[in-house]
Amino acid sequence: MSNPYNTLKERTSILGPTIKFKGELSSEEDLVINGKIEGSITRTQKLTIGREGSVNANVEATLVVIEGTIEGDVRAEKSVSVTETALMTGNITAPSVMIQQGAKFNGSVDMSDGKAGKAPASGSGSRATNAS
Amino acid sequence: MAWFKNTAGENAPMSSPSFDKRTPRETFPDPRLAEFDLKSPLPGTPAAPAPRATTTAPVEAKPAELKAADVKSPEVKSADLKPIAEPKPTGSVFGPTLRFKGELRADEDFVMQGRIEGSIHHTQNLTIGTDGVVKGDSRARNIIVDGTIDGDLYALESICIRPTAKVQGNLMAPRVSIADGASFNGKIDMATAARAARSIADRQSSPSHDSAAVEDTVVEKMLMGGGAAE
Repeated sequence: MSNPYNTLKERTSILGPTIKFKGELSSEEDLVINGKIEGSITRTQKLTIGREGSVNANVEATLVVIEGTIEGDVRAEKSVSVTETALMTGNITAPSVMIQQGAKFNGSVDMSDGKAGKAPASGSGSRATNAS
Repeated sequence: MAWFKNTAGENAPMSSPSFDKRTPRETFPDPRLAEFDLKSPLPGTPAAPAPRATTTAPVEAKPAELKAADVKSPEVKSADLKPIAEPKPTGSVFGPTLRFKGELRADEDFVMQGRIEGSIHHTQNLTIGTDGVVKGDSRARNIIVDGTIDGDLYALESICIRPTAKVQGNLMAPRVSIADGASFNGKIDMATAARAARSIADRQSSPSHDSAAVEDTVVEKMLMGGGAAE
């Protein structure tokens, strides 16, 4: 019997607003979070934290878009976008970072290393950048 | 359909009393239609079947009736089972590379194609897709399983184990269906689940009246999980 849901083609998983998850979450596909996550998120491709999303976790992904609330460190291989609706507390480590006007961001940004392999705190201290 | 009426008139003695009175058939799989087709020697050419049908009809009438009953019974059965056996998967899909480790709570329908180690507390329809793997207990209103489960399933309404499923664990739900081809090892408890589901429904309809449910607290806990109170 073949897969009735054809999900292998749809590479995006959406965690809806009523979903609450506590623990470790990892995936190798695109992920949109509109729910509440506590713990850690690892190995995602493109991670979008939606407007309704609330994440209390350290995040690792290739590409991160933050539209909602996040408390925790974000480490991206390519880029991080913090949009105007975002409310973020934590550090960003990524080669490319975009923080839109209107976003609330408290933490440090580390773009020094192309590879997002190091923990932000262990590097050259905190290059504190506060945009709000 | 004049030939049809003619035959009925000639066969009057062995046809059922209601045969003549009956209005033209509405649906094709009418059991009596099957009977009639058997009686007529050339069902493909309805222009001139009447004369010969009269001679053979008495012998064939009985087996034809049996046949008709056989035709009807599976049809009714499938119609009855359909709403239980095939609830439609809806809502979002958690893709096959998704890995959860921990506790997942949700109030909306979703299809789990990924892997979860831990528990699922769900209040609506939960579908474990063909690629889904669950290690731990799952609770939901309706659970459909196409994938692999290692743990207990508790459903307020129904559990549906489909042909591709592999389930190792106990099922607790008022209604359970296990399809042919599914692999299942475990116990099924419908009686306790039905009782618990009823008492939960009672309590939800009248929140103030909760004393009656005291005796079923354990069962409710099993159905609703630890955080039932919220």
